[in-house]
Amino acid sequence: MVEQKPRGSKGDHRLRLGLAAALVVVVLAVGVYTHLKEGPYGNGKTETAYAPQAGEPNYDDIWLLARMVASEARGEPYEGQVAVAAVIVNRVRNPRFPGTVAGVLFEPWAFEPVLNGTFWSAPVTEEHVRAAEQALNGWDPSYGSLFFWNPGTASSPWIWTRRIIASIGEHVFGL
Amino acid sequence: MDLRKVIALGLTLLLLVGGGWWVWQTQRRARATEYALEASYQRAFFDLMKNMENLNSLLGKSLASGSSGQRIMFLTSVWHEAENARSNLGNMPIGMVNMMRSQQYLAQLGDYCYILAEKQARGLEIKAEEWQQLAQLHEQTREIHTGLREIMSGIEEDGFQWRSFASLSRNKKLTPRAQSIADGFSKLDEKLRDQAPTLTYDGPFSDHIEEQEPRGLTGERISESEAREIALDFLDLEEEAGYKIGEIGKTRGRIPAYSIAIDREGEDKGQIAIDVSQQGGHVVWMLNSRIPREDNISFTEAVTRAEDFLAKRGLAKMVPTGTIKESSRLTVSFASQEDGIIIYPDLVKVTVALDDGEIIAYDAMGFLMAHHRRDLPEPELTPEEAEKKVSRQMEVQRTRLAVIPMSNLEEKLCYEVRGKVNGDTYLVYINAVTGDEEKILQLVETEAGTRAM
Repeated sequence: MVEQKPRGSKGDHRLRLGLAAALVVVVLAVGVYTHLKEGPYGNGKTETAYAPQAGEPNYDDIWLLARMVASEARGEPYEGQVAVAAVIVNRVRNPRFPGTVAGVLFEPWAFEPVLNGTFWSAPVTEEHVRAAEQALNGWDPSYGSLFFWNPGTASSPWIWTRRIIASIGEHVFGL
Repeated sequence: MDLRKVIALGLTLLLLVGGGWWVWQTQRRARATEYALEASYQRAFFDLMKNMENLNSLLGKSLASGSSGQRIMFLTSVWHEAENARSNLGNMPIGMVNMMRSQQYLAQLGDYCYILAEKQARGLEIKAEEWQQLAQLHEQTREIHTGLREIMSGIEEDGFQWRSFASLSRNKKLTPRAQSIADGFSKLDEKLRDQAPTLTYDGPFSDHIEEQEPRGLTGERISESEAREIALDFLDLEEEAGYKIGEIGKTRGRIPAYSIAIDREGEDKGQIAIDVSQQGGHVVWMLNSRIPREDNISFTEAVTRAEDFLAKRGLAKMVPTGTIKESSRLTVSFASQEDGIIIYPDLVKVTVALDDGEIIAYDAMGFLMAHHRRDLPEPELTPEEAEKKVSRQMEVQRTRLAVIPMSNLEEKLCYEVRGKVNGDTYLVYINAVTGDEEKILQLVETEAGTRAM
C-alpha cells in the first residue's frame, strides 16, 4: 500500500475518534430519551396554579378552561382572557356545538393549541384560573360570541364571514 | 487490520444500529397512534350511523303509538339517542364548519321531543301542528340517514382512512376520496340549512332563544364622553389621580356598549375594564384584573360590602341569593324584589376581594336582558297549599314567593319551598297559579359555598 497522503498526527486521530464516539453517544442518547419519554407533550409535569379541593363541583371545567385561556389568551388583557373562556361556555350552551366543555375544546380541528400540544404545556397562572372561574360564573365580555380569532394571523377566509361583536387585545370576537 | 480501523468500523456499526433502532421505534409509535386515532374516528362514524337508524325507528314509533305512556318512552329515547348522535358527530374529523347545522338539527330534534314528552307526562294534549312538526322531523331524519349511508358506501371502498382528514387542520389539499367524503358532509349540512324548519317551542335550543332582545335597556343614547363619566363615577375614581384611560371601543352585541379600559398605576392595583351600554348608560359589566391573595374580611362583611356597593349605585332593592368563594374572592348573586317576591331573572353579580373588600367584578347582563315592569298574577294557592304539593318525605323549612326563569326564558310565579329529604336540602318550585311542580334544585354545600344544581 502506498500512502497517498501524509497521515496526520496521533492527536488528530484521537480527535476524529472522539468526535465519532460523541456522535454515537448523542444518537443513542436521543433514541433512548425519545423511547423513555411518555407521549409527545413532555413528561406531563407542567406548572399549574390550580389545586382543586376534592369534591368541588365544576373543577374539571375550570381546569380545562384555564388551560384554554393559558394557551390561547396568554398575555392578553384580563377581560380578553375572560372573553376567550366565555366563548367556550357560549358554545357549550349553543345547539351548533357539543354540549360539554371537553366536547367543545376537543372537537377535531377546532382549536390550534389542541392540535399542536401547547394546550397541555402552556403554564397556567392564577390569572388564567380566575378568568375561567369568572366566565363560568356568567361574565361574558364577548356578548355571546361563538368564535374568536386573531385578525393578524387567521388563515381561514371563512372566519371573516362572521359578524364581529367585540375587539379585545389581539382578538376579535364574533357570531 | 489496524486497531483504529476496527474501532472506527465498530463505531459506525453502532451508529447505524442505534440510528436504525431509533427510527424504527419512532415509526412504530407513530403507526400505533395513527391506528388508535383511526379506530376512534371509525367508532364515532359507525355509532353515528346506528344513532340515526334508531332515531328513525323511534320517531316512527312515536308517531304510530296510540298509548301516551309508550309515546313518552319513545320521545325521551329520541332525546337520548339524538344527544348521543350529537356527541358522535362532534368526534368526527370533518371540521366544525361542515357540521354546525347538523349539530343544531340533532340538538333541536332531541330537545323538541323531550318537551313533547314532558307535555304528555303532564297530561297535556299534543296539538295538530306539533304532530305535523314531528312527522316533518321524521322525514328529515330519514333523509340524513340516507345521506350518511351514501357517504358510508364511499368509505367502505378500499383504502379510505379518516385520518387522511388530518390535513384539514392545515388548509392543505385532501386526497380525492377524502374530499368527496368531506363534500358529502357539507352537502348534508347545506341541505339542512335550506330545508330544515325554524323550530320555536318551549326548550332551551329553540330558535327564539338566540333572538332574545334586552328588556331592561331604558333611556336615551349616550355619547362617548358621557360613558366615560358614568364609568369613572361607578368606580369612584373622580378624585384619584394616577390613572390612564385608553381608547374607548365599541361593541356590537345584544347590548351595544362603550368599552373603557383604565390603567391604574402602582403595584397590585390591577387594570379595570368596564362596559357602559350605549342606550341608557347602564354599566353592563366590570372586571378588575387584580388577584387578592389573603382572606382578611369575613363572609358577612363581604356580603355587606357587595350590598352597599349596589345600594350606592341605585340598586337598593336587590337581595343576595347565593355565594361562591373562589380563592380569596367571594362572588355574590343578587335578585331584585317586588312586593316581597324574589325576581330571580333580574340577576346581578358582584365579586368582592377578601383582602380589602374592594369590588373587583360586576355583572348586570342578566338584569339588563330580563328586567321589565311585570304584571304578576295573583297566587291561586296559599303557602300552606303549596307545601302540601311537595314530596311527603320532605321536611319543609321555609316557603316564599319567587319568579323563576324557565329554560325557554319564560317566567313563572312560584312558591319556593325549601326543605330537607334524607339530609339533603332542596328548593322545590310550585307554580303559585296552577299548583304544578315546575322545577327542583338541589343545594350542595361545598367549601366554595352553596351551589344550586
